[in-house]
Amino acid sequence: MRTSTIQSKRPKLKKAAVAVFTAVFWLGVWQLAAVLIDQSIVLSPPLTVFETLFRLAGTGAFWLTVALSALRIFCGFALGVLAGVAFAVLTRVSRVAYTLFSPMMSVIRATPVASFIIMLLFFSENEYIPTVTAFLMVFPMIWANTFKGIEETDVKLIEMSKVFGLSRRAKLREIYLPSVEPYFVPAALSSLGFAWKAGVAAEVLAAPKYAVGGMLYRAKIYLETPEMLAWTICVIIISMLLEWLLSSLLRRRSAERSAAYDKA
Amino acid sequence: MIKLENVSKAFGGKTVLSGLSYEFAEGKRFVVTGASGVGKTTLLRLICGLIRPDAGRVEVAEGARVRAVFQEDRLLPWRTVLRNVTLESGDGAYARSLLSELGLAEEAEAFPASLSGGMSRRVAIARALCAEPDVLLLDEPFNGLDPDMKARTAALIFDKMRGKTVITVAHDAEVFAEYTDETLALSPPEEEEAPESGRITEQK
Repeated sequence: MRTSTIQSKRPKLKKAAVAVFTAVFWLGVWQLAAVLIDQSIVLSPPLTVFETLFRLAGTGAFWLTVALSALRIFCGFALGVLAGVAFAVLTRVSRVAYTLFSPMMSVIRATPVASFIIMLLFFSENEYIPTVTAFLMVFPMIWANTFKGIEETDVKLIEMSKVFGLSRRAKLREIYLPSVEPYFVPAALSSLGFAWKAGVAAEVLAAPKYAVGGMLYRAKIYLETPEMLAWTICVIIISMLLEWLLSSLLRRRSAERSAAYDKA
Repeated sequence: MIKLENVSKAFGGKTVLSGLSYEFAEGKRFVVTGASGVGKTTLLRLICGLIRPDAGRVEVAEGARVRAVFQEDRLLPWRTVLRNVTLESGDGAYARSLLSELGLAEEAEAFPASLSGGMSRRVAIARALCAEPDVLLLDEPFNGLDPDMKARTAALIFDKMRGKTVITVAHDAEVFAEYTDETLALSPPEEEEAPESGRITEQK
């Protein structure tokens, strides 16, 4: 927290200059590598890739593809969050539920994404596979962290809330939500990143209509390396954008709170 | 108002209270004394219903609002002092007046982490008083307060709780001398003894 406060005090101009320098440096490395390899099929130079990206972005199909991919994967993410939280509460309340479900969560977490996708190919509409894959990434992560957050809630505060006759709703608002938040927020942010990448991987294999992953696969088949790299950059940009969106949504409140802590 | 009948409580095989009977009459001020480990805090926890007796009965008059100042302050770290005090009642004006009487007017918008131990203690006291209880349980309420502040805080508590029941657990009972109607002195339960004995009760 403190580090970020210090950073934000640095002049914005200097920060931007550093960012530009870093970007130019790595683009230079990429360009140099492309020149040395000298085979566009193996590694296309950055200029060609960005040209391709801009050309793609000029078409309606590109935006439809991006929007549908994002929608599919975000649905999986949202369902994973809901189910993760619900199961965290259930397994915290019921010992039986915990005993039954915690091994299942471990199995889901240990299973390679590709195995899920291949299994799903057998008995699901291709359209839903990226959603289910994203769900399977998010669900155990949110479950484990929310569970931990509930478990770590200070028993003394809960006792206090009993003595002061707080309603269930007040207990949730005043004690449980603030206690779970520091566990939930980072889990939500990192699982969104995982969901997006795993979702795109599922699209590569399941190839539903209008899918970023499908386009990646197509580019690979036709040895369209610039297009493949352009779609990859697109995936990276969306991933960063999603994370930024979610973090600004979720972090606003906790930032205010930690500012108050920092003052202390 | 509060009646204990043959109450026994043990933790992990260690008897803390054994066969305690006592009646806390309505509107009186009690001080519970005794060496550490004799079950003073356990007694308060039984009264506010956080634990149940292993044997015997704890009766609290129906509808009586029992609120407590715990040995630890138990403030919500993510809420301001004012929000902590109004946690139950929501009465901001009364909360502010209590805070100012406890010398905390300036701290209303602060977060607990920025308070000293003594300040947090007074916030916990303000929170309990703000709930306007019929029975107030105080567990070592003045830990961390200097003598002046102890006197001032005691005066405020017993003024606000006039005509109501206050049960205070304290090892420095002398601070409460002028606010005590009855003293319950707990002594450690003796091994293998009949459940009735091991308790001295004195009336002032």
